[in-house]
Amino acid sequence: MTDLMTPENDVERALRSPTEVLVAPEARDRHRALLMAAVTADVVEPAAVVTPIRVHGRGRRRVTVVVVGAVAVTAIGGGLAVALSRLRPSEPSMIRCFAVATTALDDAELGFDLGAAASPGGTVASVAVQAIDQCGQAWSRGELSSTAPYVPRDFPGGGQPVPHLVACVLPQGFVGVFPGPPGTCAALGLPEADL
Amino acid sequence: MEPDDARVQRSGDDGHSEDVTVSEADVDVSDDVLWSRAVEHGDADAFAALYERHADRVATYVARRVGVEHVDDVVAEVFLEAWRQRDRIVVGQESGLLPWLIGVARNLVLVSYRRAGRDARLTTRVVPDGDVPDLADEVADRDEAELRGRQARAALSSLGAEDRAVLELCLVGELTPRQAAEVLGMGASTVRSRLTRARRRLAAAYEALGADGGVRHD
Repeated sequence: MTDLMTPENDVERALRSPTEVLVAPEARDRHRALLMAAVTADVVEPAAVVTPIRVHGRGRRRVTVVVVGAVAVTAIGGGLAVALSRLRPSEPSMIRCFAVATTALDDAELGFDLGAAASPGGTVASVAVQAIDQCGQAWSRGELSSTAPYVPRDFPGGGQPVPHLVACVLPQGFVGVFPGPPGTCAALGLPEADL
Repeated sequence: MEPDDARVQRSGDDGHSEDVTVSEADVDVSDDVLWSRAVEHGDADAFAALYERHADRVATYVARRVGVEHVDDVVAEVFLEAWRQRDRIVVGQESGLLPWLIGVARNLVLVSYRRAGRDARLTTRVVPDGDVPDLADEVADRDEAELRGRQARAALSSLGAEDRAVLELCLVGELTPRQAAEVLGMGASTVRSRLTRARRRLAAAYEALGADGGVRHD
C-alpha cells in the first residue's frame, strides 16, 4: 500500500505542478562528471556550479566547484567538526549570518556568497574577517534583528546597532556568524572558524 | 557504451525524452548499498548511479519550489551538498537516499530565498512568511494556472514552519510520512497527524486569499 499523499483540491494540485521535470541531457552529463570527480578527489571547495539565484544586491551568485586532487583537506564531517575547537572552513566563501545564537530557527538566517572575492589566493584569516564584516554590515542595515522577525522584509536602513559577532564553522563547512561573546561557538557545539 | 549497460528512455511533461545509460549491475542495488560503496570505498560510479536514480525527482521538487529555470544548477548543488554532508547521512534500506536529497533541496531553497532577499523573480515563487501579496489586480492579466500557482505558494508561505515543513516534504516533495519523518527527526505518526492539520490550514489559507472562488470550473 502506498503512503504517498494524493492532492485533493486546487491548492494541493497547484503546489504539485509541474507534474514531472527531467534534468536536460547535457546538464545530466555535466552533473555526472562533476559528482564523480568530487567522489574521486574527496575534496569539494566552492568556486563553478553557477546557480542563477541572485545574492541580494550583489549580482548573480557564483559558486564554483574546484576539485583539488592531491590536497586532501576533506569536507568537514560532523564528528570531526565537533571534535575540534578551531577549524578552517572548507567553504569559506559561503557565509551565514544568524540573528540569534542558534541554528534551530528557519527564519533567523541570512546567506551571502562572497564568491571569488573570498579567497583568491587569500588566507582563511581574511575570509573570516570578511565574514564578520559582511554580517556586521547586515546588522548595521537592520537586515538582521535579535527579535522576531529576525530577518525583516522592510528593514530600517543604516546605523543600527551591531552586536559582538563570532565566526564558527557550520557542519556543511560554511562560515556561520553568530551574535554573542567568545565561547558562543563552543556553546553551540561548533568549532570556531580558524582566524 | 559498456556491454552491461542498458538504455532507458525517460519522458516528461515538456514532451522531450532522452535515453539514459544505467548500469544493469546497479538497477537492482538498493540506495544504501550504493551510498555505502560511494562513501566508504570512493566508488564514483555508485554515486553516479544514485544521481541517475534520483535526479529527476529532485529536479521536479526544485521546479515546483523555485521554477524550472533554476533546476539544472540547483540539482547539481543538492547532490554536491549531500556528498559534503555524507558523514551525517544515514541511508535507510527501505527509504533510500531520496528523503535526504529532498531535505537538502528544501534547505537550499530556503537559504537561497534568504540570500535572494528581494529578488522579484524568485519571490514570485517563494513568498516570505506572513507576506501575502495583493493579487486582485493581477487576475485579468495572469494565466489562470500561473495565478493559481502563485496563490497556492502564498497560502503555503503564510503557514507556520511546522505546517510548511510537512507540506513541502510530503505534498511538494512527494515523500511518504515515514520518509519525511527521517528528514525531520520525528516519528511517522507525528508527521501524519501534522500533515492532516497542515492540509486543513493550507485549504483555509487558500480560501482566505479568495483563491478558491476566483476560478470557475464550469
